[in-house]
Amino acid sequence: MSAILSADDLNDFISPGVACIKPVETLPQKSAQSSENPYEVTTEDKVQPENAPPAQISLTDCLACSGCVTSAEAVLISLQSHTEVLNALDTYPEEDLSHHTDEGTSLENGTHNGGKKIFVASVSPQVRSGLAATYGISEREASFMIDQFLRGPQGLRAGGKHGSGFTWVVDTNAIREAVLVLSADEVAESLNTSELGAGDSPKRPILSSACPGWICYAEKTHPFILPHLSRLKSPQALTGTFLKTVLSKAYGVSPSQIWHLAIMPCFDKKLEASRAELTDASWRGFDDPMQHIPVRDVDCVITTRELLSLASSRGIVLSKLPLKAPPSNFTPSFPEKTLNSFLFSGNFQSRQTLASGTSGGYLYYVLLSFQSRHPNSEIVIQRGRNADVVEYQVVSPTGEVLLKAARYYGFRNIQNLVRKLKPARISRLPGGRNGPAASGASRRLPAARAGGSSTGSANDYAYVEVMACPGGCTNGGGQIRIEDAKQITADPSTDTVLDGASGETNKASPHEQRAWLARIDEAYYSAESDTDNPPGKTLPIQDKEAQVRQSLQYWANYLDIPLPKLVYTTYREVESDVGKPKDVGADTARVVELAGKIGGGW
Amino acid sequence: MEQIHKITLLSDLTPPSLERTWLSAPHPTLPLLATCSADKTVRVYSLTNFRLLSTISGGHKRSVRSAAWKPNTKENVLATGSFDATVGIWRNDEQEDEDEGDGQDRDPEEGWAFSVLLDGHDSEVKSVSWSSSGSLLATCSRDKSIWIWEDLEDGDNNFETVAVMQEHGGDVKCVSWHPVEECLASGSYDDTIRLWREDVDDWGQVACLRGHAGTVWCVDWEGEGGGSTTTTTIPAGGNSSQISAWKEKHARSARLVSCSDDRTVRIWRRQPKDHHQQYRPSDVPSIIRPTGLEEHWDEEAVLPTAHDLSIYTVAWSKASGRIASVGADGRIVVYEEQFTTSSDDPLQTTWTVIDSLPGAHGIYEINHVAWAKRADRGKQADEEVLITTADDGSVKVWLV
Amino acid sequence: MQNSNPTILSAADLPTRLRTPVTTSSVSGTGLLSSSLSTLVNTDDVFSFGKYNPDSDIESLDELTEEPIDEQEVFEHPISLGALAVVSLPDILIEPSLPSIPDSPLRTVTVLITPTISHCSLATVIGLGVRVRLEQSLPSRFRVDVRIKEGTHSTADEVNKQLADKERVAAALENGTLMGVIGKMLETCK
Repeated sequence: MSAILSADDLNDFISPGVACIKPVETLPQKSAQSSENPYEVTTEDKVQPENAPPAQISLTDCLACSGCVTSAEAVLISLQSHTEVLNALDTYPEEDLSHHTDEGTSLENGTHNGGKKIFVASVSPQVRSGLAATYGISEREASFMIDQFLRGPQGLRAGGKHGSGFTWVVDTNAIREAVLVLSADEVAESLNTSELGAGDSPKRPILSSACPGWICYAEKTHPFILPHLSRLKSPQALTGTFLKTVLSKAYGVSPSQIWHLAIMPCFDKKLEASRAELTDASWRGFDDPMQHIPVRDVDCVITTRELLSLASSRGIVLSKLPLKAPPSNFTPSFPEKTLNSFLFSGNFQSRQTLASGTSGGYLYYVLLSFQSRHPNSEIVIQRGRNADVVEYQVVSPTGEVLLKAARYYGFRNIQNLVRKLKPARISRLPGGRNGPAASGASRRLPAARAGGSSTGSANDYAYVEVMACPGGCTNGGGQIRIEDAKQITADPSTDTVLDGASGETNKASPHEQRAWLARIDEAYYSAESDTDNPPGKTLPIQDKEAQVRQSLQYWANYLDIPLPKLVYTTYREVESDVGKPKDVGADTARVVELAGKIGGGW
Repeated sequence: MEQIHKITLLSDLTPPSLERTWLSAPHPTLPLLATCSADKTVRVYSLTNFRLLSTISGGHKRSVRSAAWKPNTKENVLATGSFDATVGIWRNDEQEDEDEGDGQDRDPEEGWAFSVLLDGHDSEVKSVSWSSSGSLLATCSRDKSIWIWEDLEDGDNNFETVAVMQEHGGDVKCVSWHPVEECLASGSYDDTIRLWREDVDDWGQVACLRGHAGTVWCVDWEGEGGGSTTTTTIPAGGNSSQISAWKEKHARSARLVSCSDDRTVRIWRRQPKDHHQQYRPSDVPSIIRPTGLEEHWDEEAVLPTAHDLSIYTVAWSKASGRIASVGADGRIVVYEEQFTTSSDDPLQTTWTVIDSLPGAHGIYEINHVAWAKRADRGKQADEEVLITTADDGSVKVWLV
Repeated sequence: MQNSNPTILSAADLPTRLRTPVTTSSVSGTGLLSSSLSTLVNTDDVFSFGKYNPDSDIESLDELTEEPIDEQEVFEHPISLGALAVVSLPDILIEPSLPSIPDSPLRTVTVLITPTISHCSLATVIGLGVRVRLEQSLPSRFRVDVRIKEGTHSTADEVNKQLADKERVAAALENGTLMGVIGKMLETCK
């Protein structure tokens, strides 16, 4: 547990009405409000940051982890909000980097005083799509809108105590590219080793690890999944590592002087940012590790909706911002020319196609990469029992199936995947008989099947892309809703998102919601790669991969840190108390925690 | 002061569990009854001689709260829901030979075999229910969710999760499928009743019935005319034109009965689709127009107050149309519907209490009541019995 | 609602910046519950079948006093019932369960508890402990109803609903960890 969190922040007094942590839908609101209304959001002036009321969390259909909420997790989420962003910007003046050259001379040690920080932000593509659909603009224009807001002169910089803004706004797609290549490499490596997965390679089928909702669920409920998880960090996490490592090295400052904000389509990403495994402790070597307080790679995550709240709270109307990039010399270049180019040149093809889905396209890329090594092979797609279950095969020209993979989105489908992967129960037949053949007569005894490798089909997959939200990340819990969009369309200048006027009575029908999601998806799929890159210039995939690997190695060399230390992470099983010796102190603590949970715990 | 009761005891089921019996489930076609107990067992009794046939044990680690027989299948399949958060599926391809009850030395677990344990719920499973086709199983839990499973019937005991619905604000106490359609009703600790249907690939809520002032413990559907019963259940005392008008109205809308901590039993009726047309201004873009996925339900009646404390189960007889309710006050109450003679509306009906039997299981709370076809020696054609289960474990069979 | 005697309970591994002030008061050796229990059981004799005498119930509980909080107790058993809730004499009520049936032997024992912290999330566990203890000690014809005293808790209605839910309570009784802790809680109420 990070030292920033103390028992006093822990709100044991979370009122019932809070149902599930995944994903969190509301900001801290007044406790007097009825908990029946999860969609209400308070305006900033109603909420004093010092007296943050108990966090209220309500349920969506992303993941069913009801009852798993701990007060600690709820606080972790509530501590990351748009008010947190404003606090950071107002507390710490922005570091002036304008006089530094590309080689990046060190900042004075004096920067530790006066508490200046380097502010950097990263934005996910689904956030841009959400804004594009809301404001009726293109994805590219949405990108400019966010850039202008976070970095430009008319955005955050126009106000606040210090006129601070974000020096760089990074598209997570840059790092996503790296994660895609590394995913393909990970799968290739596992295919080359034996069935049981020798060495460090995850067990087959490798399951994607970019979705924190999925990870938390697996850690808490199905630890047998953990050996299957890809070791790779998500694009958010890896972007955080990249930014913190490079900037701290380039400017000779501690990672704690860099404040990294990520803007994401869901609340689970806030939990991901709080993971102990995703701090500088995992990539820095320390003389005395015990003395060091770990610094997160991602300091704060806000959702798309919270971005709107952020704008409203400063009185900025997003639709009035110029829909083009700020002047090119407005902020200093990212240090180190090669890394700058890696991050900003946008030199990648669009990965966002219908076949890739709206969650990064890990699976599809693995298929493309594999296919490129098997000339003339074909990717065959077969939809499963619903739109969120899709099976893929790479088939050779002779019809031989070379690779099988699948996509499983949404809780109900994840259930079926997990069941297929569950190790078969040790065959103690519970019930029905006192023992086999006790009566002497022959009876059919069907084997106990609690899941069953006997079905086998899941083990045939080389890779499964698992996402908690049906429809993928464009449908994340923090995305702009149709109700908000309607109000914004009606009157762009009002603080519509904060009014919370859309109560249960105005809730959109499932059909409306589906139509809205389709609009966001359309914006997502229509995103093109940066036009800095001349159209038509597409490298063969293997050349592209080589480029990416080269850049990654360059980065590792620049830092003098081995690449695996930068790109890989680990998972931990949340321990159960079954089989542990009875320890009343621990039991008591557990019951206290249980009692604090939603709905009374029992 | 002796009151003559219409509800009379026919028999106890023996031997009973010695711990609380939560529920009894009559087999859809055979004279069998499954009961679930806090002693973690399921007992199967014969309704011809009221004796224990089998005891199913060892499958669940905590109380068995609910059980349901799979309809439409040659084999005997039981689904059980337990406080251990799992759902058990049990199969028996042996014929339960009900006439062999007396004196014979039977292996008490003969024929029953554990097939599969479905897990997924985070906390206690409160109720399980099979759809009329037998291919879907609904389960619900304190974790506020309802799961729908599909029995793949592939000979390998494979079940797939079809849907997980999480709209309820509190424990889901009860799930019940419509007798014919694939429509699910649920009652909850959040005081609401919700209805669920599948739309394309997704199961979703189509209605939320509010009105009860406390936990809704149980919901049950009125029987449909047609199917196995040839007579549509019609209220008493009507003339022929009333009856035919009633049948017509009935065909267009389904009815649901519910009972609650608020000590009431309520009846709900679905309004036909064209009932509520909502006008939308034309400048709203077409993509934003709502569709008619939502169903509209009205609270049709509140049955006469008859219980002093919470009502735990209500059961609507598919054969006679009568409703029975039981609860914490230890009463069994039976209600009947009649055409209201004095009303302007020829289709209006009222519910009256036929009988109210206090202390049916002595001082113990009654947890469950079910209607079943009478199967013992004294039966008349198509006669029904009531079966109740109580906190002391006893299970009693009643004539009405 | 501020309580002058806050007891903040935190999981052992979490740091805290606050000190918890606990005032001392005298200890009564006998637990409230045990006295009331034995009295209630004895009142069986007071009943003749068919009638009950409310006055004698209350008289026989006369010698009971409020259970104060003891610092020593809190130190040794941070979660002891006495440290967390107060039950006082006027807050116990015994009435017939079915007023419509005068002959019924059923009695409902209503116990009102006052958690020391107005928004203590442990209220449900405390209430459960009280309920369990009473259910185990009383004959079957006594129905137990444990409620939070009105005005003493921020979510009293929700807690009461949970405590009144027979199914919830039954399931909680099967939770070994929970029951173990409750057992420890009730130890001091011998």
